[in-house]
Amino acid sequence: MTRNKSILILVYGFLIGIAVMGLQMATSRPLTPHFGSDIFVWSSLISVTMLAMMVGYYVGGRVADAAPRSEVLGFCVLAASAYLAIVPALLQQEFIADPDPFFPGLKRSTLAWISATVPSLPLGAIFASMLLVFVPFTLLSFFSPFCIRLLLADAEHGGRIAGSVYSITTFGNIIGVLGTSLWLMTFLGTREITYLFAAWLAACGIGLVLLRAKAGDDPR
Amino acid sequence: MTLDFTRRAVFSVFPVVALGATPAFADGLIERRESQYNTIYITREGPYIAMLFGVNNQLFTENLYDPARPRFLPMEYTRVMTLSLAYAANPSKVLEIGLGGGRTAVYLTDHVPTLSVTAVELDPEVVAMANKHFAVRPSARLRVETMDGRIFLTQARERYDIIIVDAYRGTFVPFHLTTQQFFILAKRKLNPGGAVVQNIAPNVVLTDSMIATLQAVFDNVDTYEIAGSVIAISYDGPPKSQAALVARATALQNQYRFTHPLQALARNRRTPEKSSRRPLTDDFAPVEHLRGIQTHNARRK
Repeated sequence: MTRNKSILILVYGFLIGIAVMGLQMATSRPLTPHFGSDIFVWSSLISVTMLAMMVGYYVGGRVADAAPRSEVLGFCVLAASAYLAIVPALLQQEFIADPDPFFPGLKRSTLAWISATVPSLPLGAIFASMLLVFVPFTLLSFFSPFCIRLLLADAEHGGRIAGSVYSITTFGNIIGVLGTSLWLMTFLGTREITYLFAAWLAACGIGLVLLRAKAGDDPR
Repeated sequence: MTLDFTRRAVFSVFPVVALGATPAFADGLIERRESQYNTIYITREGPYIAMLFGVNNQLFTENLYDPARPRFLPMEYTRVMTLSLAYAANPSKVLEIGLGGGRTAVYLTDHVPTLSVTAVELDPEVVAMANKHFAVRPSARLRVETMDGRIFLTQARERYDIIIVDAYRGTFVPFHLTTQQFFILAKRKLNPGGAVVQNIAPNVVLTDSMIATLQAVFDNVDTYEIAGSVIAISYDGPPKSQAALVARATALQNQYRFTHPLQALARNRRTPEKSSRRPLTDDFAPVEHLRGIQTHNARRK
């Protein structure tokens, strides 16, 4: 792979890292009215995020070996983006006439329904977190193993490449957490933030598809 | 839980708390408890026992209690909250979200023998401290529930005549107790002719947004500014005239002999103009970022 393509892939990793943790911060908000502000709401969300990463790393690694091309990764990111575009509809505001721009028909908050149906609040919070973030976070967790597979030219530089990928995506995570909680959430609602990151990820996905990078390309 | 700026009790204890040490209290510390949500200090302040919360290196007075005068409410804003009795058509059931020291709940049940109060408090340590140091004794007429106020309200099968919202975490009200959805939920759990009372921290931006939120949900919102705090009392139906409110307050006063006469409390009544601010919602209520609300309001105008 050319040096420029390698750098671009890492830039996408950074941007996806921002989106993942930004979305996690934003998702904590709609859970609170239905499951309370207890610490288990956070622990549910964090454990579901970790579960998604666990599955995503495992499956993503296998997919990367089977089809080590950036287009495949790009389509996975696009799928995550498409799912996230539906999430605001699940966060429909209860009681008030504030229709969702894309799904104006939905009246009842899905989270309110989960809270009323599942007998335990921590369990309800886990179900709700699963519904909101599991699918997109699993798909987005494909990125790291995929990226390593694409960038790895020889085993000798494997450590350096894996380290760079984890470092840059984690740097994105930091920006995502701080930027969302300290900045975005001060002027955007949760649903607006979700739409923003869905669009953001769509751009990353299209970028990865258009990059047409595949493993084993000449590194110069 | 409540906070009171009026006594200038908000002072920085940094770096004392940061280092994990107990700040020095002039009249002595009675007990210090760490809970999942706060550090709770029970102190002596002159004739009073005080409950203070340490949050983010600041101390907030939640409640004061004078053991020699159990029917006296030292914190002025809590007296105004008792005026809500005059708003309700037939006050017999009160829900209080945010127990704190619990003295308002005790005051109400002590004075009105037919009244029952359910107090909901998130923090079990606060409940324990209120019981131990503030003489809050649960009974058939004073029920204390330890859970999130919003969840309690969602699950509540009962209806109430008055719902008092006085829950604070340091400087801010937890966002899910400030939104339009929350107040609609509260309204649905009110008996006809009921009223919702909200203690609003004296920050101009938050006060305006809270009033806008209440106005979006209720037909009428009255405010009472007392020693720097703002108490909002909201109700549906035709607006109550001042004469009618005072007459009702006087009648209740004559019947129950409150330490703090209700009709006198009604004097500070104001009916704010319809606010142009955007109401807070579950989707957007950055109560932790007060400047955020300002920016958002400017953008929406």
